[in-house]
Amino acid sequence: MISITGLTKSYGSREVLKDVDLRILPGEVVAIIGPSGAGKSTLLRCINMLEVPDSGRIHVDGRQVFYTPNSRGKLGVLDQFRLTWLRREISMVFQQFNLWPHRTVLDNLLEGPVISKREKRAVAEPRALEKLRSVGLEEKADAYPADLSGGQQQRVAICRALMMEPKAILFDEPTSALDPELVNEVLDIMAKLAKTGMTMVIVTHEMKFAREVADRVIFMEHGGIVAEGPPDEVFQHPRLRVYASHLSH
Amino acid sequence: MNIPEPGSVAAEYFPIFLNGALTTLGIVAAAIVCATVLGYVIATLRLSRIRALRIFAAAYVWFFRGLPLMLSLFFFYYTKPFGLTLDAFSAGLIAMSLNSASFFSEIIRAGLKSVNTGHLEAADSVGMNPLQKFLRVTGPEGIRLMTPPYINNCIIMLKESAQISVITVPDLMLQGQKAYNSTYNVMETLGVVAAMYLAMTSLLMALQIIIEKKTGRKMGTTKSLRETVGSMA
Ligand SMILES: Nc1ncnc2c1ncn2[C@@H]1O[C@H](COP(=O)(O)OP(=O)(O)O)[C@@H](O)[C@H]1O
Ligand SMILES: [Mg+2]
Repeated sequence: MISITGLTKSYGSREVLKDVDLRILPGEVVAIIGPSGAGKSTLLRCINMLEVPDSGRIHVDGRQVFYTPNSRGKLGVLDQFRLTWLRREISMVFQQFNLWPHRTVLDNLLEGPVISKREKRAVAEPRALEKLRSVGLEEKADAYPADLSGGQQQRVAICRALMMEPKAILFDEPTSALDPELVNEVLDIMAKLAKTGMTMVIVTHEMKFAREVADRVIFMEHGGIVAEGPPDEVFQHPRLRVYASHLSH
Repeated sequence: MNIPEPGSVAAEYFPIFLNGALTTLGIVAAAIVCATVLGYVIATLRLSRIRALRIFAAAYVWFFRGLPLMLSLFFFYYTKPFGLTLDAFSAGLIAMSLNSASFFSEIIRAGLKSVNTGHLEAADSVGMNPLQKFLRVTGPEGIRLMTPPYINNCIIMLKESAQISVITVPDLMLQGQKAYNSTYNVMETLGVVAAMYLAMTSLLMALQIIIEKKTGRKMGTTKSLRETVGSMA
């Protein structure tokens, strides 16, 4: 589904990703864990070109992603036009939800299919309401994001990602901005989604969730992958145990 | 010379005042359009990655923001700049546009910078191209923040457009002057002219309220929520 080889990325003289290789299989749920500053977000954002790598090859669904960074390390305007296919195949859920505040919940969901994929609104709307129903928010369709709790906003953001009918969804610490009592309502939705066979790459600090839901765990430190494999195996890794003991204190 | 009846000046000169008001409205509207386009270009140059462009844009703003409009008006009307002989209307339009573009560029720059990066990335993440992002996110979010200072600046332009009467553009102010020069009824002519200026500025203020109503709802709380949630890790 996603294949990455030799990915490197620096900010100035600081090497944030050092020659990272990663393969994500169709239907796989992969949790990326590791200390803050390890490069987890950067790796995730390189997959859909929100950050542009310095070098390395990326294939999505067998198709190679060609890119050239501009001087800010982002995608140039022409590449943004050329790579819309990539963003339509790989959706993203952000730590800060990033719902558009000037649009209702329903319009937030319709924006991708209608504007970006040029679907008919009449076709997309029933789908959107169905998605909202599946996360228990159908009565919020006409509300504005500001009227929702953080947990509700993140559930809407997951629906927005799903509306693209993506091949994979990237999650960057989807519960880190939430009040503790709202974390589970989002994790529950994600666990359900994992069961449907959706390909998911999740950067998270929720160790229990990573352990129970992920097919594979990747532990990153200092811009590299230190350990990867089935959760039970990776959680035995000495470096990860040091990290996990920090978390629980 | 007879002293005219009260109200007769207003009645006699009303069609002329109306013509003047239309000239004022026309030149101000045209100047607002030109200054907005030019101001947008200057704003993007100021946000450019290329240093020379940033410096050029900053110099432009410094230059025109710091000069009296009257000076620019005289320059374009009397000096035949670059060998061009301009009629009063064109000279007035160019001077007003160049002058106001410096103010608009600052307003637009602030608006563009205030657009939330996360909201733009969300647009990226659903596969919008740069044009769609501009129309669906940057535009709506920027307009909300730009409207109050933008309209304010339009009102200032409308009022300051009275200066073009000095270079003989037949605007509302000039027609007013002509009327009191021939009737000596300064109070009444100025009164009617003032009422017409107020009518035009009130229109702009009403427009501001409408735009704020249309774009402003529900947005305030989100911003404070973002701030309490903290910055991106
Ligand atoms: N836009 C940026 N400019 C400069 N440095 C950055 C930028 N984004 C991230 N970094 C740096 O890259 C490193 C990795 O960041 P990130 O990928 O966000 O780590 P993680 O998500 O694992 O916490 C950090 O040291 C961070 O300071
Ligand atoms: Mg991060």
